[in-house]
Amino acid sequence: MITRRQFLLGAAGAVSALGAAADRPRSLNGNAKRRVVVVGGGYGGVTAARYLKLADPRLEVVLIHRDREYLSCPGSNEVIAGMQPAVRLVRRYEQLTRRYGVRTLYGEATGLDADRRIVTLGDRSSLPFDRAILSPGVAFRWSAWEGYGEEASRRCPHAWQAGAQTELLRKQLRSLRPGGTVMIVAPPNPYRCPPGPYERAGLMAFYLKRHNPRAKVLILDTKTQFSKQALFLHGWNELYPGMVEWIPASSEGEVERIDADRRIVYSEFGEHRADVLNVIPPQKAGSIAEVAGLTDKSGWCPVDPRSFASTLAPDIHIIGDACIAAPMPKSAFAANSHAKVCAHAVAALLAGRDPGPPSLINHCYSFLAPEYAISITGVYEYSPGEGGLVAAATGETPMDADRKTEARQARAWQKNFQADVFG
Amino acid sequence: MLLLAGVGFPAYAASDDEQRPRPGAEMLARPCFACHSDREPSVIPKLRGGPETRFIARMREFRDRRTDSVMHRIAKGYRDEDYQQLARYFRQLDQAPPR
Repeated sequence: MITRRQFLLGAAGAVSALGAAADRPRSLNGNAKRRVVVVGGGYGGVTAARYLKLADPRLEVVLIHRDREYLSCPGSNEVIAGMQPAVRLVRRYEQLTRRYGVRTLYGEATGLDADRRIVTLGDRSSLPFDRAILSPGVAFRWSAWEGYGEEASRRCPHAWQAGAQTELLRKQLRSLRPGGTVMIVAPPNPYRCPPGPYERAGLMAFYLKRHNPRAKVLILDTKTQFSKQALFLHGWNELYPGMVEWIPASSEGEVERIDADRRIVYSEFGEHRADVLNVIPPQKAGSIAEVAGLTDKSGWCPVDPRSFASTLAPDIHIIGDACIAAPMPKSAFAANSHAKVCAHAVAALLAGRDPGPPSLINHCYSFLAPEYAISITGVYEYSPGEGGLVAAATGETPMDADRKTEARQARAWQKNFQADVFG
Repeated sequence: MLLLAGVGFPAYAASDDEQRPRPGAEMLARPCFACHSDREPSVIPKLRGGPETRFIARMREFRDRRTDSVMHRIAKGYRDEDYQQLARYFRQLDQAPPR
């Protein structure tokens, strides 16, 4: 086991290596000793690291992640509803290092110099690279809704990044007063996991139906429509009649202010009180992307989807929730698909080859109960005319399809998808 | 003239679309592994091995027959030439160790 310090001294030469990357000759005769740094050990980053090694085992691939463990957002709604223990969300990097030879570096990437090709860590050590892949996920726009900042999220959790927030919301749901109201405030587009708030509503109702049957789940939405809408509305009505209510922006207007102490949401046309308040705030690209100047005025990262290279810094690639890859939704599955295209392109570009056209899929299940799931699917390709991705095919679970079959496939999918990412 | 241009444009766009270069076999195959594990035993079938003709026939069947299957939605996103590339790739994988 190599320690972080040994690693930095050995591989990067610590501070003495500052600037070395910029001087490194760009040979065209193979990828030997070319270093690719991957920032962010979630679904996108881990897939990218693994597929880089599959594409070219000679590449030196370094994965930087804040902690030795990663807590999965997919599956966290099931934990909140008590269907799965929290331990099921823990992911580790052993397979990645042992089987594929990816080096891991635990620490926070706090800065990135795209011109000099250096990433800086929280302890001020730095690491030069030939190319970097950022998979930083999302950050919250804390100032967007008055009264809802990071501090307020400790009372009214967002639970939109897994961990302590997931646990807090799970506990609050369990201690909801008999006949009380849970309110989910759903964010404006674009955001991580478009069906997520609605899956959460259904699974909360699943829990409450058994333990607190007079309770209600209210979704106060800042949108007028949502992902898999007809399937969700149909399912809630079938499984939890009268328990789940969706209040669209068309009847409420904008969220204006949130009183986290009294758990009241003030909208343009009214106010809503809750006993448990789950606020999912508006989002933007993870902070390293913003710090490195890779976001545009939307707050997300513009990329060329043939390589996921930033249109603002060609040696830096951004994948996953942080990048703009419309019409693909922001999901772990999409991040996995971005990562494969990106890893292939990075290996090709470092070897002086044209990566060729990309091919991507998104496929996501949402549970409404342990034996009831629905799904949404899209196949995407590059359109030179549009200069971006287009959907070659899309679809959802047909309204008359068997939800139990979907649930069985969803379980198999969860397992296989984890294996493709974390090994 | 104007009328001709108006009629001509969609046809041109369609042929432009048809002429889009297709992704390579490995690029097409990689997203499939997110569900079709190469290692895990599963109700979702493995893709490696098997005759090419069977894979191609199965994909056409998924595409053309409306079913509840997820594969109906996915198969529609590819062309016949993609099925052929994928079939060849998955058959050849049979010789390689699990990834």
